[in-house]
Amino acid sequence: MEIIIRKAEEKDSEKIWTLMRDLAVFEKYIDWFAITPEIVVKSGFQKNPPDFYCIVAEQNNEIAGMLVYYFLPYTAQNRPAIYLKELFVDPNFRGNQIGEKLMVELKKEAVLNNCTQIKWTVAPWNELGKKFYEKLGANENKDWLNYEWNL
Amino acid sequence: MESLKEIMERIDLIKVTEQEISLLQHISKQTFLETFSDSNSEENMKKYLEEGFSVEKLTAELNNPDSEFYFALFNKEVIGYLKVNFGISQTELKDDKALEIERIYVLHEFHGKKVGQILFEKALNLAKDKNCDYVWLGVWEENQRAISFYKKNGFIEFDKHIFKLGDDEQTDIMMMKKL
Repeated sequence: MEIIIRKAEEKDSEKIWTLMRDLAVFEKYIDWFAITPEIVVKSGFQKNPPDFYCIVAEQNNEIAGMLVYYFLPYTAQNRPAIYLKELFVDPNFRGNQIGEKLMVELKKEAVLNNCTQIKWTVAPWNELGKKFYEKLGANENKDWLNYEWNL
Repeated sequence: MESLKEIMERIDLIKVTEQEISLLQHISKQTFLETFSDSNSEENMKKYLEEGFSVEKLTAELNNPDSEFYFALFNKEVIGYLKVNFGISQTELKDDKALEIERIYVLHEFHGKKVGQILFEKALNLAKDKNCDYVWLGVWEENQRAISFYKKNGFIEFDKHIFKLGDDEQTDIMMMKKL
């Protein structure tokens, strides 16, 4: 069962949307989830530059997992960073290190774009997620608090 | 021994062909032994040396159009070598836009003389000639000398892989450098 990691294409939009929705359920923001498959097509594949970038994992010709990110073009180091927006593996495909493979691909992408850092947030109750990221070598940022101003 | 500068200036690089197969086998085995024998069982080493560097295997590697070997020569003696892979010959990733440095080995006696640096720069130039976006390699996690060499040269760790030496499981650190 070879797992293929590749950049997402427009034809993957429907399945990417399904995984985005499943992640919204898992992370409990489905009530505010306003994305449709059409929005995925437009924002991710028809706009130039796109609003988000996406890497997918494919197994048996099916999309098994996805990772969505954006670039933060300007940092204090005068180098870009990457913000990891979403990582989700279809529960039917878990246990094959698909999450790790997607993260490794993101790290390669970050190096190729001269990025200084990849950052993201984890739900405080998501213990498996925390363990997963720590095993990769990432650390919790204890220096900064997340603020937001809702409009 | 001559000064560092004299040695560096007198190192030649040549592309290895099938005619030099016995020289290639010799330098491969010797450098592998020098690098790894302290930290691995004799039996595992013996097995790997016999299987990994047989004439058949090295000939096949040399004849692969997507792999290249270079010798570093000093006083007409082979003192180190480089093996790079392109395209599908890469042991992993197999990215068309990448070059894998599979091996850079230098005789112990010539460590600290920048021979590795010269071979490494050759690899970078080969990658640039082929318009690669990046070079990458796997290095044994216990080979701190190599890891610090690559870090010093701008490589970043991006993954870890398990491989087998005899019946021992070992971890390779995967590193890459953007060109």
